[in-house]
Amino acid sequence: MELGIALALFGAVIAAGLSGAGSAVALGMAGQAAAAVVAEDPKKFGQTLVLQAVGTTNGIYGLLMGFLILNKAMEVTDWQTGLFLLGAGIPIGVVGYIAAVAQGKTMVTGIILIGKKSGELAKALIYAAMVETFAVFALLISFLMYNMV
Amino acid sequence: MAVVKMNKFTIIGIDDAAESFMAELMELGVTELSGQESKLHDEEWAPLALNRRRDLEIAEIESKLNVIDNVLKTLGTYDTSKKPLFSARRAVSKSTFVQTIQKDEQAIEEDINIILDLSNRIKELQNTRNKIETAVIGLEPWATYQVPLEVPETKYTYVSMGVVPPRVDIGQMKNALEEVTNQVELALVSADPEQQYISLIYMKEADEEIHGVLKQYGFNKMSFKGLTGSAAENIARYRSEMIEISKKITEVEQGFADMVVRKDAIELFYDYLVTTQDKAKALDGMLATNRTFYIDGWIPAEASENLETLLKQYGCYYEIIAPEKGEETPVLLKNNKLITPIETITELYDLPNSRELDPTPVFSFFYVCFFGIMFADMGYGIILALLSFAAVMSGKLEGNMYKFIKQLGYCGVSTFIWGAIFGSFFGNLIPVVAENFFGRTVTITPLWIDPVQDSMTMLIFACLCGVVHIFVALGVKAYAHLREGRVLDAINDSVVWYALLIGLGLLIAGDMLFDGASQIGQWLSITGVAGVLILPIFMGKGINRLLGLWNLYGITRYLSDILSYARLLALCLAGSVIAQVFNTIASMPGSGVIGVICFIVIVLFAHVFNFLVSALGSFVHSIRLQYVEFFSKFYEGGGIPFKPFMNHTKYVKIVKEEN
Repeated sequence: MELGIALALFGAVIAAGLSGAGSAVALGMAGQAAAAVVAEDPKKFGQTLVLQAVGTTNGIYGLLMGFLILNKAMEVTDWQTGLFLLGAGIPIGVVGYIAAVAQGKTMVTGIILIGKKSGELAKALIYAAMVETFAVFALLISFLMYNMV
Repeated sequence: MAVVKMNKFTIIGIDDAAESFMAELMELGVTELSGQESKLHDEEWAPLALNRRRDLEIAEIESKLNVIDNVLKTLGTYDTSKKPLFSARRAVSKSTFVQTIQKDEQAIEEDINIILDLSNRIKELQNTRNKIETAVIGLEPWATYQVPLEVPETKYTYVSMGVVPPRVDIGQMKNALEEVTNQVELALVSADPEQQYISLIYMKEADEEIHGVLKQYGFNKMSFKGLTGSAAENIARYRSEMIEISKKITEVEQGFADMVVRKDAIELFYDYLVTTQDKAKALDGMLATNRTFYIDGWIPAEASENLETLLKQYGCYYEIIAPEKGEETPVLLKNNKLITPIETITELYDLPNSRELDPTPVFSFFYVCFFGIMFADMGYGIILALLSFAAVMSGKLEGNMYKFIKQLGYCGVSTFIWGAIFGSFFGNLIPVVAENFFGRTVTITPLWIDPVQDSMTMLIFACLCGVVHIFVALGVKAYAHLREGRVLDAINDSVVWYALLIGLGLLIAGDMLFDGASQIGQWLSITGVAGVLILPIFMGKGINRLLGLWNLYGITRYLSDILSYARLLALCLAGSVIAQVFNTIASMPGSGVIGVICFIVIVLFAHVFNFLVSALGSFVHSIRLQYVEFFSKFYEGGGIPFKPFMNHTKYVKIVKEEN
């Protein structure tokens, strides 16, 4: 197999793998906190679930980039292009991972907020969504790089 | 843009009519009563006014409400009728409500007592059952032990029962006992993983020595006080008692089930008590002299006339005046029917304070539009809109839930429209189905662009959306300033930024539009920068004159704000690419019968998943763009919601009869 294809595939691995792992960590943390809150007040299940689900987005950004790279990987003929695609996977992979873990922590405190005060779901959601800002920027850069190929 | 104008009212009336007046005021439901606590401590007021406390009455009703709440919960567990997804309050006409209470009050209270009685009985029965169960568990290991339990000794011997830990070797223990005396009988009755149950008969004279040995082996004596006969007999007796108790429990449960029909009436009674208590609380809060009462509070200006009619009827002295300039009033939003549902999004953030504009009408369009861009799929849009509007039509939703679901319906429509613009129907479901199962190539042509193919155009479009959004926010800020007559502020906060941002835009990309654009951009930017720097020199005092330098740094914030709208592209792509990938995966098993089944199953699961995740993401990010990027430009918030004095019933909705 061409070296280029292998490099490109590795880019997809970084994009989807890292950010996916981050999101998994985030969902896990949020789930634990949510279960603790629901143990006290079962009515909060819906709200905590909504907040937990926010943690999926970073992983999905990575997944998106991963799919896009996979789409192009098989057409790669030289190793330079492959390396280029590998590079395109890195921003969203790395930033996505860090953003997801940070977001997980924010979600945990957000869930505690919901547990203590009702009617604060929107605020908790916004705090969690703020963390994603730089994952969006990273995705943007990944995407622009991808489009240059 | 409507924060409803509030008027302040003051009322003095004759005390005799206070109760019926408050009842009618409650029914009117347009006034917010202010607390009068502070006036009781005011030097001018204190000698005149007194306060007729009704603590006792309120507490009494409170305890009754608690009891009924428990009763209703208990009944709920025996209610076998199907519960709807959204529980709506029953509509009850006012006359029925009053008549039911008058006619039925005693019967309802009796029923409540019956239910309480049943609850007590069932608790008692369950307790007894638990006790017996524990007793049976304790006795079971001794089931084969024939000696009656009440026999602790004979003339010359002691009879002893007890347990030793499972690790004890019984044979060894026997030997040890036989070493101290030869007249001892030890038998292992039964054993389980936790204990070994042994019985022991020995001569009284060897008591001490035996005890010594038993201690070594960790022997624990057991006794069954108050039981006669053998263990097996006792177990049998308990079992028959259990059957008896179970029968009784079924009887009591049947009693509960019979009372379920009364649930509606009890709920009505509960609501009656709630309104009575609210009235008592209002009366408790008012000031009074010997013969008169005093209340004040807020009323929406447009409802003032209704109040006046009522006041004239009761011959009250009253005053209704507009608030002083800058005085904080309670906040009530009022918008046209179309936009009202989106008030929920404003309320999620914070209510505007009474001095500023209601942002709802301005951001409604952007909110719905951005949601649509990010979700952008005809199929998902249809589903979201249908589900939401169906729930709204069902008439089972009330208040904020109703509004929230309705605005989701709007978002569904927007999603459908943007789905058409981007040519997406459950991702690329139709082309995949056509190619895979019918061998034909079908393409859905997007009305404008396919964001996956034309992503650069889409990115520019997303940032342009941001520019428009932010410009509108700056416009609102300018409008707010102008409304107060602060022209310089309007220029400083908005106009110079328009110049600067448009100028920069033209400077960078203008030449693509027309020749000389970058020249214009250059001058616009310079004017903007100059404005930002110079205006504070005229407006501020002292060090504030240099505020312009700091403000100029704000340019970075505008840049990051505009880039932030790239999430429109990101979420739009994420949703549609994932949908497309799922469709492709689903078509992999081929086009045979099994292939079709696999396809349907995978597509169903995948799209339900993608629908939920994307809808949530679109919602969160669309409100984020409003709250963070839009509101930060002008919105203060911090309004205190208007809380009218009215019926706050829980189970029934009291509707006025139509005459």
